[in-house]
Amino acid sequence: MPEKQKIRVAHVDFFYGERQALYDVSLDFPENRVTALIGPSGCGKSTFLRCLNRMNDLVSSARVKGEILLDGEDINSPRTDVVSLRRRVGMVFQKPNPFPKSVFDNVAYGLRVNGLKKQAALEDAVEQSLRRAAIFEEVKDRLHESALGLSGGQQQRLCIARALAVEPDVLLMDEPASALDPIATQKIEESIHDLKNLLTIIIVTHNMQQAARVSDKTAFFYMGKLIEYDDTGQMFTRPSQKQTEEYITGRFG
Amino acid sequence: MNKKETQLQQQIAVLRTRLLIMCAAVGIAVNEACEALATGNMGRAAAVVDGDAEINGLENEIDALALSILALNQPVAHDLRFVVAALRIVIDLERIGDEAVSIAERALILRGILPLPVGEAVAPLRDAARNLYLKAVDAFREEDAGIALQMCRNDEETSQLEVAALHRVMDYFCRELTDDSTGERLYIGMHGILICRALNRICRRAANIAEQTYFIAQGLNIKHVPTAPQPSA
Ligand SMILES: Nc1ncnc2c1ncn2[C@@H]1O[C@H](COP(=O)(O)OP(=O)(O)OP(=O)(O)O)[C@@H](O)[C@H]1O
Ligand SMILES: [Mg+2]
Repeated sequence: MPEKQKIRVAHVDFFYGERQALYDVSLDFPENRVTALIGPSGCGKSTFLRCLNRMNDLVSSARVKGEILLDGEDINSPRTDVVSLRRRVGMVFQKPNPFPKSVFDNVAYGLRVNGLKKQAALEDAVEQSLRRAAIFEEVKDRLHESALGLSGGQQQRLCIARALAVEPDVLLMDEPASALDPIATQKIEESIHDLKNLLTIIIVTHNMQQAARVSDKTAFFYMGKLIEYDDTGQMFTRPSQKQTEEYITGRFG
Repeated sequence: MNKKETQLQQQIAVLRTRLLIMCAAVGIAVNEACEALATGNMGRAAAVVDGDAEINGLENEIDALALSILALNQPVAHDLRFVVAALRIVIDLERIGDEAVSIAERALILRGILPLPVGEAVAPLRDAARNLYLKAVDAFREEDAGIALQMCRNDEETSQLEVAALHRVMDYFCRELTDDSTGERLYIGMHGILICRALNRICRRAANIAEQTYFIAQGLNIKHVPTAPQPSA
């Protein structure tokens, strides 16, 4: 059975004012798979990731050309509702950014915004999201304490739970584990592994081993261009491009 | 993109050098064992038997080095293929060393009868074993996928050489089974057969090394693949 492509990106150019940050990028993200975006600093990974839920709209000089389809629909079309797009395509950032509220309220926030009011339903949904982010056991006794009292790794998993609560189809993660210790990192990687049954994940990482561990597909960017995109196993044993080989083997710059 | 030599690079260079040293040591053992058999020089045969401990030591050393590179540096792409291939090649090298010892031991057992009356019979197979081994080591050193691939297709030729050599050995000891020297001829013939076996195994192991060279260069496994792919540029 051919894989369903959740997001299709065709010929995307991206500009910050006059400066072009992405050049003719085309690739498809298969559904229920983890795709890693790798490449040296400044190559456009975050820019590209933010194109996928229109976070770049927040930059006034930003301009995008080309086509990005989510389930076949153009996300840049004037008919697209950005709020519902971002609900379908959630995001987790490098630095954990919980709201200065309780653990519970952090996760319940999006649900309440979406109109869920019944306490019992909220409680169920919050617990489920916390479990999916592999943090429920650690916080179940402090759900009503401030989220800011959690460790960095716990805060990051809380942010993943918050993103998951609204049941997105796609989760974008920009270096979600770069500030975490190996155990917290491992927990996040494990939850990524479990989550892919539920959604499609696209993760930016500087950690080659992490990309190799968590992803099914890997895309290598260099200077705003997509250099190589392939199955992760292939990419790390037999990359087809010399630049990819040099980057992943650390012979770069 | 600038290239810089990483710590992993340096470790792989050490691994490669140790492997080449082992290749040379094994090559000398094969050569000396064959020469001892041909000339009856017992000193050379004894040196091969003694030298085996050194080859075994190199095997362990290279094995440990490759393992530590995997554990500490998590190599990928060509680096990963090289380290994995090193772990496999080292096994073939050690076994080729064992075959050389087995030939040298036979030379020692047959002292007094050497040069072996069946020497001519095994000569083509012996030359093939030496040549294939040298070619395998050259291809590995130069990482030459073309030669490696060509060597992997030599299977049939090796089999034919062995069959031909065995036939000649059999001819020798089946000749006039009634005369007085029958016993000795059977004895020599049996050793001749075992020598053929050892030489055949050297040929096969050399082909294994070529397979690994191809894997390093191209990232493709051509073991057990009936029609191997063309090497890409
Ligand atoms: N808001 C912005 N305004 C102008 N230029 C920007 C902006 N954000 C990023 N850029 C530029 O776009 C290019 C790509 O940046 P981007 O953040 O996408 O890279 P990255 O691959 O995510 O790098 P890193 O690995 O360091 O996070 C860089 O040259 C950067 O300077
Ligand atoms: Mg970035």
